[in-house]
Amino acid sequence: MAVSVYIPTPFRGATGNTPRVDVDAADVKELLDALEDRFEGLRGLVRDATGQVHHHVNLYVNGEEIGGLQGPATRLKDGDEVSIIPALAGGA
Amino acid sequence: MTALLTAAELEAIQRHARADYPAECCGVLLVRPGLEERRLLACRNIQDELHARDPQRFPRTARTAYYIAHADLLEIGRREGEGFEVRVIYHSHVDAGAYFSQTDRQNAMIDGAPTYPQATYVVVSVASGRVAETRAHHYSPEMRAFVEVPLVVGDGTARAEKR
Repeated sequence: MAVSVYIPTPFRGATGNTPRVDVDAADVKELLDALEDRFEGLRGLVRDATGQVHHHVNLYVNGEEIGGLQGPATRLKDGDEVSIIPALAGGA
Repeated sequence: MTALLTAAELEAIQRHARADYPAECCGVLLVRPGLEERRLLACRNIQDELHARDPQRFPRTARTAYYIAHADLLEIGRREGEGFEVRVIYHSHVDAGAYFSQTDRQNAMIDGAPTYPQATYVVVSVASGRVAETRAHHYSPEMRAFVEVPLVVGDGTARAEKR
């Protein structure tokens, strides 16, 4: 199941400057596992040591944040587009 | 010293900060290197919506916090795909100084490293609806911390922007 993944600039050091990679995965968790296996440097950037997606990293499937879907269990199908984008947030 | 913002961009950021008072505003300046094509993207702060949905995870409201809307984050991603880079990330502080807060520092790092090491964070202080000061902050690899840097505008003159 080929899914296209957008890698944001801050994480491209880990993917040899590649902005987009194709991954075979049935759901988001599997996709992250596959990405981390392929690009060792991504380990720790998207998920923490316990496997939780970092608070400040957002994952989107076809433009929808996975928090509003089924989280890491969100199913993927051929041709889906997944985007990994760091949150931009802060405050006084 | 290269200008970080044009005078028009600074004015637009400050106008945004005044317009959104008493909520924090937020946005980014995207620049396509080489072409020096610049796009100031005024973003939507969804902090109030996040707070309403999940007050435990997002205890603050937009008065003291910002969170750039998902649609804007995706737009930033699309622009990066076209060769733009995030040059400036701006937001405002409501009735507070233009310092780079502990929250700002925490949220600008992932796994101990700055998320956008090339970006300068511009903070606008809005007091009683008026811009009080505008300051710039940048990650220093030597200091391993965010430090204040001169806010260089337009013709290259450094301005502390105190009014």
